[in-house]
Amino acid sequence: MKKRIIAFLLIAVSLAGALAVRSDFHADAANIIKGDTVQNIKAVQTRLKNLGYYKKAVDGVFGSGTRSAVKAFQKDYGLKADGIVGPATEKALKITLTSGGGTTSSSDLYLLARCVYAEARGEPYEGQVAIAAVVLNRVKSSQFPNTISGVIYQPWAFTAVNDGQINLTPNETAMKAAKDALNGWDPTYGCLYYYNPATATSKWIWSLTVVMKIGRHSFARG
Amino acid sequence: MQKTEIKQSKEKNAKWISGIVVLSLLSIALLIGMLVHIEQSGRYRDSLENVYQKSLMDVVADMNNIEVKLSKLLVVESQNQRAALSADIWRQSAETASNLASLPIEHNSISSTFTFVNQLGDYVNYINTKLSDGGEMTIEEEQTIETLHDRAIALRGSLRNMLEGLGDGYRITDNIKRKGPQIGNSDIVDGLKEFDANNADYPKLIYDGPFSDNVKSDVYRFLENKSETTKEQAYTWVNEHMSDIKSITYNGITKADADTHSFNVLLNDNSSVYIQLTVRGCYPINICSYRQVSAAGISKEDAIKSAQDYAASIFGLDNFSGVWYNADSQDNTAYVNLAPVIDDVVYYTDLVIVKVALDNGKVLGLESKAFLINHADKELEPIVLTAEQSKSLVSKKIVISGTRLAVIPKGKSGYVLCYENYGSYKGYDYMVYINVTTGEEEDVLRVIDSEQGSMLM
Repeated sequence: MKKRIIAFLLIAVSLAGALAVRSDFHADAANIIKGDTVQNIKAVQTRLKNLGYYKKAVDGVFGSGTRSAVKAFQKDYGLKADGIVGPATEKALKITLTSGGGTTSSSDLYLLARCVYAEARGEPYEGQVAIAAVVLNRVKSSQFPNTISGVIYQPWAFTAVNDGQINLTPNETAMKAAKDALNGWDPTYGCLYYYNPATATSKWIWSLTVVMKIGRHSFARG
Repeated sequence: MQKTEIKQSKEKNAKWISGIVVLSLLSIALLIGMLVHIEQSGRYRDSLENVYQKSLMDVVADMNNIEVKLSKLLVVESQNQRAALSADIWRQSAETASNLASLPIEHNSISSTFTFVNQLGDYVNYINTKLSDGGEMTIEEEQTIETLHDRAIALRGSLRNMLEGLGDGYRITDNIKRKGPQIGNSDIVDGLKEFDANNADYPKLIYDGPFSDNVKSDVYRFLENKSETTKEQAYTWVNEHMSDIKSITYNGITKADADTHSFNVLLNDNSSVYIQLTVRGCYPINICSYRQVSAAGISKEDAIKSAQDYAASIFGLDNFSGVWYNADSQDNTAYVNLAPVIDDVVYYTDLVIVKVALDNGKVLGLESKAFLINHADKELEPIVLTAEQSKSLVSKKIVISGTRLAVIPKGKSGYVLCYENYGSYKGYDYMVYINVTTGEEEDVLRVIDSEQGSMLM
């Protein structure tokens, strides 16, 4: 009986220790592949398929299948098997990746796209454009910070920034949505706030007059 | 009998002991890991605390400086002093806004403080410009500056009280909680709320500047004499102007500055198009869609023509001209900026932006808010200068390659007629806009990324 109690206590302490040590699971940083474009990912996938490492469809999406293929390749070729296609891996693969002018021409664009992806992936396209437009409307407003990064990184402004999802690599849709917004598209007519009625708990945000609803989000002027 | 029992029990014991040893080692390892993690967290927290403290201290220090400078601004007589003080106030209020933005305070508690700080710098700059141009302050404007100074005194006071209240050893990071937005840092917030509460009699600031309280709602001048359309008429528009339609969903009327019919149209290739048509006149104000375009097939000229033809068919005007072309080689789409050209004058204020797919030239998107708001008769300044004269007013460093007349946006809702002088210096392309009457430089634009976009002359 005593031994059982000791064993139980030890298990309990181990579990407690394990829970404490578990690092907060934040999404991995971007830059899985140079350029992060569909073309680049397809090029990598095609090459890996020809070499026999990649068995799935060449779809331009960097998922777990692609990553394992990259790792397997890196292992065989004596490279650091981290699943990231950097310059060394690119050379070993004997392909040339284009550093797309799109993603690198503006850090603001990329940050905006990350925010859209983090907050609204899965929403209809116009909903993603709307989210990007809200960020830009806040920049113009006297009530909010005056830069795109200031608005996005304002503490507690966006839940997806709080929990690290902002660091995920945005997909093509998010990039296009951000581009549209930066070129002037604003389906919300100047709204400064949005929320998901199914999950929003702040009493204050419910008090705002809703101008329109797109997908799961309601948009308000504030 | 007893020997085997003892033997069995000894074996059992051995199993228990080895189990306990393994678990103990595991626990110790985990405990050590936990301690290392806690220590590291502590270090992160200390650096973050320092950043927050610095931001808070800077807000207080800057507001002190701003208040002093404002008080001097009320009494200086010379333009030099006024210009220097205004520049300082503008810079420091921008810094204050930036520092406020970094503090972990829920936005609602500080949004009026933000507005105050932003408008303060902006307004001071506006007055300074006005006076430097030879104008005079109106009675209201003098009053406004006095009020702004009073507000600055109040804010500075609230911040001082707040700091005293916090005392030494106050840690901002003590109040960061895991769950979403919280009041957190209520001591800081209360300090600012006191300032906030006295904002009731704060005047609306109407002036020519980006943060003014001006014209919150837009007047859509192009729609002024157009009649209202019904849902059925809107459906007809969609059917007439779009092809390969699979299904149409009507989302109802969105009530905004211009009421619009909102649709989601599903095409045969399963891409979805979002359209907002104005109730008055049934014009598209926003068309939002995208599809993957695998490769470019048409030329730049064809893309521009496609955009022009589309805009012409939508708005019934044949004078749209491409003024800016921005192609994305990654997406194989192009943003074509169109402006009406009337009597050789390019109306940048009445812009329509069309997104074109570069494989077949089909239109993927449209944005026409500026056009619908601004396209109406305009009273233009009389042309006093010739094009040649305007060129001579542009910096000699710029090698001018072209000049034409253009109406550009000026201020929140204004516009001005200028000569647009396009040229280059040091490898950069510039557009210098010279007022046709006064010869003043109204604006200078520089092309930021000529790889992505190009001017169309």
